[in-house]
Amino acid sequence: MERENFFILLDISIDPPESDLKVINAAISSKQAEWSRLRNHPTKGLTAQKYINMLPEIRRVMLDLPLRAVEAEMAVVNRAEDREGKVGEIDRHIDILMGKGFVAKDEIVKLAEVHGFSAAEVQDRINLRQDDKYAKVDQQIGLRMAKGYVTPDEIEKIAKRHSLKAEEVRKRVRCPIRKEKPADDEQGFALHELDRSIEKAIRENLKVVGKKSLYDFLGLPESSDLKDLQTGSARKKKELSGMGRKDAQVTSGNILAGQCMMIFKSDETRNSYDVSLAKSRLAELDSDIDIAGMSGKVRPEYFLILVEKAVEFGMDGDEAETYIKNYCRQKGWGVELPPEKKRLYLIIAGAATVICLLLVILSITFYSLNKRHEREAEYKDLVSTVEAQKSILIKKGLLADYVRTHSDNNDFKEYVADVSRRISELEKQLAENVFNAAMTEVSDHITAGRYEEALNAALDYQKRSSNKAFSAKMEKKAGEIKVLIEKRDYESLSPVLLSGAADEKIAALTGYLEKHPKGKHVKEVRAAIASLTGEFYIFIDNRLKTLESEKNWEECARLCNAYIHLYDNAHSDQLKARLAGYSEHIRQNTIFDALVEKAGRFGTDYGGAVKMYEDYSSAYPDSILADRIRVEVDKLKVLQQKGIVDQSADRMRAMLAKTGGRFVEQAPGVVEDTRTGLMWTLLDSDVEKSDTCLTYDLAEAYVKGLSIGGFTDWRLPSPAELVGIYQKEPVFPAEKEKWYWSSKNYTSYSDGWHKIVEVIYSVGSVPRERRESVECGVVRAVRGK
Amino acid sequence: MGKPIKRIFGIDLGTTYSSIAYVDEFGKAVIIPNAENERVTPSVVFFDEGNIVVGEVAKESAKLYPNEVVSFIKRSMGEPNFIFEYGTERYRAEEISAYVLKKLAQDAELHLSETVSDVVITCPAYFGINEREATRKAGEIAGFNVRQIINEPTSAAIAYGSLDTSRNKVVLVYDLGGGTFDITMIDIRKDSVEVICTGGDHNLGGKDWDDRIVAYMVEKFQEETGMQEDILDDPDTWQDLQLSAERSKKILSQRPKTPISITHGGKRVKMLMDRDKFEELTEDLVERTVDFTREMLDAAKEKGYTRFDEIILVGGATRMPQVTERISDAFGMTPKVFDPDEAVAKGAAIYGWKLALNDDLIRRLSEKAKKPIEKVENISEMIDKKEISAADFKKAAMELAEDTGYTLPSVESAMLKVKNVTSKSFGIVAHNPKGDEIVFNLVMRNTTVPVRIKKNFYTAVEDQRTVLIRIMESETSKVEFPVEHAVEIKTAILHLPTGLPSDLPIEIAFEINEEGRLYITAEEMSESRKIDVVVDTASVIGGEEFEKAKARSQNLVVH
Repeated sequence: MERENFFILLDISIDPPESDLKVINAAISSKQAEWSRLRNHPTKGLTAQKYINMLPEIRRVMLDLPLRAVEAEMAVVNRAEDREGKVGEIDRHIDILMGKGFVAKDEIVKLAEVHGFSAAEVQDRINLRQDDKYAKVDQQIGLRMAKGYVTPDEIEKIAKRHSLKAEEVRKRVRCPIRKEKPADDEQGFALHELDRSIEKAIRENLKVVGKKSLYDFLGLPESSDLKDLQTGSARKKKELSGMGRKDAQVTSGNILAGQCMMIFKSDETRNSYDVSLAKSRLAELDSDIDIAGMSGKVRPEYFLILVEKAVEFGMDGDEAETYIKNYCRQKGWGVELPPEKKRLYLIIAGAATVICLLLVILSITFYSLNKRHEREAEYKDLVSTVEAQKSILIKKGLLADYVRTHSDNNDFKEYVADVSRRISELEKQLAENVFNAAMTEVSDHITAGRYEEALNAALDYQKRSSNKAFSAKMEKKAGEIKVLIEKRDYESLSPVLLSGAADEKIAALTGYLEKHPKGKHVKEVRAAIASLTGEFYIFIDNRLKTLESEKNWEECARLCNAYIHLYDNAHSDQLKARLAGYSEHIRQNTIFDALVEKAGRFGTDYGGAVKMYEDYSSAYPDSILADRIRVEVDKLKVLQQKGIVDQSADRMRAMLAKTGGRFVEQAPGVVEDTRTGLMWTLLDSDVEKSDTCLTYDLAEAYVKGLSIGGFTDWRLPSPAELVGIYQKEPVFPAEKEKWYWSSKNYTSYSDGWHKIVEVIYSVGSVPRERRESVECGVVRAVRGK
Repeated sequence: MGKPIKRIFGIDLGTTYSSIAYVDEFGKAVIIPNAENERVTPSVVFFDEGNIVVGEVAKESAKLYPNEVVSFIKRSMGEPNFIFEYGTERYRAEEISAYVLKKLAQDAELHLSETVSDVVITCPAYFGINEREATRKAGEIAGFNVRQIINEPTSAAIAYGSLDTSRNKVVLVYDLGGGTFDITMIDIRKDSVEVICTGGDHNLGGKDWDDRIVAYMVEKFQEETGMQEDILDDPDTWQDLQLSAERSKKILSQRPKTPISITHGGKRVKMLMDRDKFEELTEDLVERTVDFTREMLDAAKEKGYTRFDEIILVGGATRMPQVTERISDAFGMTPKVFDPDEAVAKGAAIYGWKLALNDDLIRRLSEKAKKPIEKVENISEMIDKKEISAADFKKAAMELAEDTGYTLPSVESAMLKVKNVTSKSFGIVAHNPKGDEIVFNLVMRNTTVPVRIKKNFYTAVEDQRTVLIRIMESETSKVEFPVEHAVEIKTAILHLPTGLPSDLPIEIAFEINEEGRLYITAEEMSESRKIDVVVDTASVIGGEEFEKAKARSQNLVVH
């Protein structure tokens, strides 16, 4: 599950990202107190507990510069995604406001305010909305389920709208399907509603565990059998009780598992959950009314749209009007009803619906009598709809739908046959249209001189077309285009032949031959090539001199081959001899590449790779590759040393982690002693310079030249500083016993002047001693204070 | 008459209510009423400017000063990141709990005119190692000598067993308190109380029932007024609803209906709630307790306990009729409601009394034997091992009875053995052969304590200076399982002497004592050197913070 972004959670600036540790720490403290206060809140307690448990992670991320930077980037992304989520809502609201034909400027401003978008963004959405489709089968079923049942009529309607079979729609419905709203006293229809506070509690807990529904929580599809859901619930309960941590997620999980046990107890209880799930979608309607009533009253256009929406949501017209009016009354908004005419229209429409309903009932009574008329009427209806359409594709689509949905039924046989005939006529017409369009395209290309495009278009058509007559016509056209292309290509040769370099001439001429092996001018072109035998050789001979100095053996070989391929004469014999030499160079290159590749396979085992090169050199001591191999070996040795350093650093890091937070790596290679604030190098001089003897003088120079973690002010530590890290627990990690130069030194005399330096041991029984400055020692540099 | 034995008090530190008890001159456990003459004290703390107020007054103040009042603090015991902020001061759960304890002790001192110094505090059986440690620390902050932390169901069973010791019986203790649920199977015998198995959830209690009512009230309020705002965002309203929900729950446990009124933002909604609705809103909660019980019974079967004689209900929340109904229905046995509010504190007092008698008997016995006898909890074991003669014991017991006026049988009952099990499994982080981090369980839940497990570790490199051990608590009985399923409760750091070779065996012993506290010792095997172990747990108050809290509490008078 994706976790919340800490910038957003702590409520601190994202843009620019807050970087003041004081501010961040204060924000964390204040949130900690706030969440602790909410720890036992009846509805928000679990979320608060979740956040409380996240505090160590929040501190880890927010108090660390690189991690915080990543978090800040994510915050920006999260915010953008959040806006994505709002788009659906804003779209619905735009639909409402569009009801009167346009969205006014001040409405745009208000919408922008409500959704936290800019006015320009809202305008963009409005433009997009105008041709966007949004109805989805499941949503429509879901909304109709909210009233506790779905009627066969509704199923038919949805099926028709989406060109589906009613059976398919019915399969998706998970509540009773019944003809009419049942009377309250009707037996068997006592849909028990889930209490809204339970519903809400489920929703809140689902939020904590990041799931959409109890089905999602159990990881089972909504269409699962009750039995599966019951075993799923029991399994989930068991799984959760095995969890050691009792954090918010697990607690919420336990609550949800408990709810699952109750809800999936019987079909009835499950139904009430399903219905409540659907009902929660009704809440969308409320938010739509809120938008329509933004100005304190609901305009008549809006009112009609809201009614329409509500009907979409599964209410009937009256119910919808009452619902909206009541809602507005509660909010204290006025509702402007549509003018009387429209009211009248509505009444008439209502009456018409009633009459239609009566007619349907009648028609059921006279089923057998009317069925035939009905079929004919449907067919005629289809024909007239089809004829009214301009687009052949849509016409064909409508007819094909008819065939698909009616071909199974024998009663429709004659109509289906007729419709099929119409379809094939349409197909013929369509084919001709397609041919004409393709021909026009081809001709256009030719007129514009784009012969290749013309040819492609023609060939493309041939590939697609299944109509033989049109295909043949197009093939003839393609032939004509090919002649045009040949002519153009031949004509384009003459400027090159007049002024081009020898290789350009050859390239142009051979290019022609390749493209038009059977072209009209092949003979002339061949003759031109033959006449270039001397000129091309001289060109190549010159070019080879340059290429040899560049060691570009591949190009040398290519040129030789180009000549040899075209001519067989004394020049080509000369070039063949030279080609042998080039080939040997290429062969050696290949060998070298293979060696490099083989060395690569050793990965970080640089020693192995070095050994491999050395084996090759001793096997072929006179190889022309010797110099290049030496370069490679040197490179590898550098890497080998770096590998040692890196490994050493990794080991040190692992040990740092066990110092209980005293030593923390602040920047790569720089370790802060949180107790003293001093910064130490992660690695001592011994790691990088293990093969040099670091006398005290060299040690001083080494420290001066150090640049680690962006710092250059490194110095030798004082004895006290070294003692501070090596002899005060938890100690600075040490891999083995070493002694370190300190800054404290003095000169003493015995048989001449000596410089004596205090040194400190990393581990071992002797904590400190004095040593001569000419000895070989180790430096752990320090900075700060 | 010799000197009276030192009194050890029993304290039930509950999520919503707490109480304190002692054993009187007649050997009977009695609750000590608080200064307001109530037998139980709400576990609510009110920071009233300079004063700390605990109890009923604090609870009632929640409506007026929601941000200065802390309730349900027990649920945050062992939660390292819980902080209560008052003014510039920040308090951890242990310190707040300490104030509740202080209030109980102060009022008891007033009532009895004697100092309360030694106590036995109870905690849910389902508490893990850290939560127990936190409970002990709370006692120490309050200034007590905490003699032992014992489990609430065990305590209830001791109180129950003390009433009738004529026959052996296996009892299920169904303990549904204000914030926690424990289900425990206990074998009560004449001379012992033995826990067989335990289970539960320390986030399931009466408060969850209250919260359901609160949610319902919010819903009704929104329905009636059309206000869509979340009225619980207002702390005053939240506290008001929380209190009236608790009241309604109590009424609905007695009567079929209760009127409820909700006031917020100048609007008032009145409604009637009936028991059916209440039970509908909460039936899943009861169902969960049944499920935990079944799970525990399965675990008990594995230990050879296939049946039980009685179910006793402890904890205020078991007064809800739905609990009795559902339990009877599920287990075919009518449960007994046993002194739901007081049994736990009384049992703890009896246990404390037993400890005190024990102390005194040991004192007398060592005088007789003319050599000091190390304090042990079980004298009977010493008799078994012939470290003490039975005759000496009988004599000492008679003397004690004479000196104090207690009856001989009640003195002899100090021999009562109490055996417990761990409610959690615990193990350490290790690597499996594939190199993944896993938890390797050393002690399985429901193992009888004390228990001692030894395990060898090997140094990885030459001259290794430290070994880090991550100790993990879990609720599974699997031996190996992923790290995410456990919670890290402590880290132990072994500081090794210098110059050790690699691959040297180090024996680490993990020991859980009778109260469920964890001790770790380590020994380097080659020279049998003891190794220093530092156990670090951020989940429990410690170090400077602990000292500061202790100092802060020392001179504090709780009102």
